Amino acid sequence: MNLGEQLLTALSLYGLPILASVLFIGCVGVPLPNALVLIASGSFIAGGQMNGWTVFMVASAASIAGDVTGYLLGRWLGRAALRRLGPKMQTRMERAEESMRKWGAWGIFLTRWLITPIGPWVNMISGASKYPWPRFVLWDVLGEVLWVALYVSLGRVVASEVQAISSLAGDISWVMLALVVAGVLCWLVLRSRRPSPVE
Amino acid sequence: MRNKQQRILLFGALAATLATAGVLIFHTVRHATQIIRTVKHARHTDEGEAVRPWMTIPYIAASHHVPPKDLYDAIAFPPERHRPWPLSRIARRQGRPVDALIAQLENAIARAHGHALPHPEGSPP
Repeated sequence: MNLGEQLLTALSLYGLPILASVLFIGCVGVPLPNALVLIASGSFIAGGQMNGWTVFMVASAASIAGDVTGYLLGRWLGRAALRRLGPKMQTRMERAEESMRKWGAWGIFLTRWLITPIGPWVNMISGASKYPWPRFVLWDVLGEVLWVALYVSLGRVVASEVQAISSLAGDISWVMLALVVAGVLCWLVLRSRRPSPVE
Repeated sequence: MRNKQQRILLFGALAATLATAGVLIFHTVRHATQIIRTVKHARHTDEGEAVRPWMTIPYIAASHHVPPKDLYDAIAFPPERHRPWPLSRIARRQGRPVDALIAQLENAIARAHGHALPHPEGSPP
């Protein structure tokens, strides 16, 4: 059995504690198949093995707790580590802080449910760039609740194809990430073609 | 000069990202088409997800639209009152390989759908 199947075995044996642990650890940044566990919970709800509301509450709480832990790690450890790397990193951090002020809310919201592979990184960057924590928590809660609702519902609807659907959800996240990176690069290319005022 | 180098680098990165996105989109669309075909086929023929060791009897029963009791009877295991066990644990409890258990369940599902499979070697019908 691979890791995914072992986690599914544990989920069907122990239920909510496994769901909460996997989501918490995954949201902190350890690469675990969070989508698989969430979609499987949806299918267990459809099969009468788990309760819908309990799964929704526990999964949302565990994901939000994981994200906040990542944010705090970034705030405490990330800043100290960057300070040690010298003044050049300090300047970059100031630029990152500026970007976070501009795009932070969208970045946090979209990486919760649509571009999930970079979610843990965004948590740490938000913490390290001192993004205001009440706003972080607000966008985080909105994004995570949407993510849990979407994936659990998907698991309930397509209860008979859990593994295939979760791997498809992972594929879609990577496509979205590639498209976002391509969009940012397009913008940079266009900006670099504009003549600068000095020239 | 440095500006030109930066621009070339940007173009290169953009081309690589677009190529990666293209491959990912192609792979995802193909994957999605496969899944849709499988789900449609499963709905049409009453077939569910392939039986795996992590699945429980109620899960398999719901996936294949078969009464759980038929499946419990097929593997000679009492219906579970509380949290159901995955097949890997039931097999361990019964002291036999999980593959034999899966073969018996597949047979019971086929029988419930009205088309029996050949019995696996060494397992009772």
